[in-house]
Amino acid sequence: MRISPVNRASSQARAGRRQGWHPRRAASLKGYAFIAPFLVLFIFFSAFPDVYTLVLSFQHYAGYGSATAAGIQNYDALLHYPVFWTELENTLEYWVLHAVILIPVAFVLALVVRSWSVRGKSAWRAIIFLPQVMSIVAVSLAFQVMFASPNGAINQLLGLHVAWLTDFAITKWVVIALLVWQGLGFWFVVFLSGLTSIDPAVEEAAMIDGAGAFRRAISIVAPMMKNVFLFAIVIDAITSMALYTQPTVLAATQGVLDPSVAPLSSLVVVNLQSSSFGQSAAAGWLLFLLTVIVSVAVFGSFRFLGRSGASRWRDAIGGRRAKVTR
Amino acid sequence: MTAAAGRGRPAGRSQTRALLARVGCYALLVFVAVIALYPLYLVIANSLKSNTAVALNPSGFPAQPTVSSYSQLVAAGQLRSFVNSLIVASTTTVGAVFISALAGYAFTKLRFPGRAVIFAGLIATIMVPIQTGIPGFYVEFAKLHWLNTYQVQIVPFLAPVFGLFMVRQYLLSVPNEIVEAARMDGAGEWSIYWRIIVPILRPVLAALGVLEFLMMWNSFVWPQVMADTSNVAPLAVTLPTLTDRTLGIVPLYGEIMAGSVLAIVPLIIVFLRYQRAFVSGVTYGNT
Repeated sequence: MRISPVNRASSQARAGRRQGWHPRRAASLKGYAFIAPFLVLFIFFSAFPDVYTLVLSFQHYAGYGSATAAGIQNYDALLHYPVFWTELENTLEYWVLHAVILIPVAFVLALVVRSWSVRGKSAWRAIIFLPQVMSIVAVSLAFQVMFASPNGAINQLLGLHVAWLTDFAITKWVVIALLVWQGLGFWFVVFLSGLTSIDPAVEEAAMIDGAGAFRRAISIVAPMMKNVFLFAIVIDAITSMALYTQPTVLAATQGVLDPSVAPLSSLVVVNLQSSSFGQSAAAGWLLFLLTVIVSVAVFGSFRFLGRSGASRWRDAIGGRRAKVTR
Repeated sequence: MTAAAGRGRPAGRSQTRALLARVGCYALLVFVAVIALYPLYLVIANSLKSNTAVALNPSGFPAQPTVSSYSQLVAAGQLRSFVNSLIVASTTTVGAVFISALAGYAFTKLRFPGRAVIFAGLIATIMVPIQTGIPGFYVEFAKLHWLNTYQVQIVPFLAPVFGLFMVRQYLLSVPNEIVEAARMDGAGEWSIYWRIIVPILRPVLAALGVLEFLMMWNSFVWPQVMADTSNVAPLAVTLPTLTDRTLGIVPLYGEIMAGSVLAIVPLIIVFLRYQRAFVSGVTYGNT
């Protein structure tokens, strides 16, 4: 903006005119000023380190001296490292196996608490939500006490001698149990709030037509909650790719986590702690890549299945109705 | 069910079915409640036993309740870790709420070139796992001499994208006329933000504060890598490392459970007091 000499005569007049002439520019500056703290912090402490990690992933760097170019060696080494594939499989297993239990159970619980026959709704809601506000590390340690062998609480209570935390095939299921236990309250509350947005008249109509509770849940409520399910499954998948704390705290024996139960994210930490920054960085970006692939895949398959599923339901309901009228 | 009975079904049968359904519902809820609360019971009960009593009888009620585990916990310097957790989580929460609200206001109620592009760019990063940037962060912080400090645990979390998103979603439903009317009356942007927007945002800021506090209280991988020395490390990092001072690797479960009480109970008290903010935090951010 060019300021004419006349305007310079009085700073007050200048300010007034500037606002009169260029209110947009003044507003723009204010806009930038308001987002500046957020943006500056974000750039220096989020965007820059992420990009710098990408640069590091193509270098050899031991934390001192200078970094040397490595091309794709770090990625190549990781992809030829059997532990990478074991841990990738572990992360995918933890995700799929906990989600197929967690999401349906959370939905059923939301349906039950919402149903008219249950009293004390807010008390039930608080109790089911409670694990969500417990420190993750502390509950992982509590699960360690529960599933210790030979003298854990579960073995003692049930008179068993199961090696929950030392037989790694079983340990995986303990981790999954922890993930379900801990995540249930969160998705339960999300589903519960989703359910309140459904018009009760729709369900009442189905009830009068003689649809039972199960039928209503499957054919009417679930399809109407499609977006909530999509959201739950995608967000749960994204957070599952970054899974670290629960298996690391729960399944570590004597401070060391065996690769056969470790999630992929621990490759970032382990390599960092042995000062292989390039390798650690490559693991970090592979983890990000995995997150993108998984969420796109989930999103895509959900839309595909959702469409065909909805039409299946529609046909089923339509067919029934036709029969009834006949 | 009375409607169904009125439409000619045998009343007795449908009443039995309703009763069965009801009993089934309550049985399921009681079952879930027991499972949800059992680890909490276990932590509290075992925190009142000695380390050896936990090893011998982990599931039982404490036969001779003792606070020895708590005094050992204090002797091991864990109160410091607890205070570290509090300092980090509360400072970050206050800062992040303020900064997110500021930016969220600008992204909805102020116009400036690049607004949509910048916002979209920020939202796109929500998929980046926290571990991805850790190597880059580590080298950056090593150069800044920030490793093993409070600020390394606080500053990177002052600009949460999910917080910005929550504030923006909420403000989109607030009519622009409120802001424009104030502007007509000659109010500056700052006083509009502070006197009008912040009070309107109160519920969503409470929810965001609760979420941010929970997230910071639970942060583990970050302080484990960036700040694991005892003078700054939070409880989450120090608790799993509580092992026998002479035997080394043997975990002291009495002490660990007492520490877990410290890590769990304050948050539960806050939750029971501000339940609404917690629950709405989940639903605001996510539906």
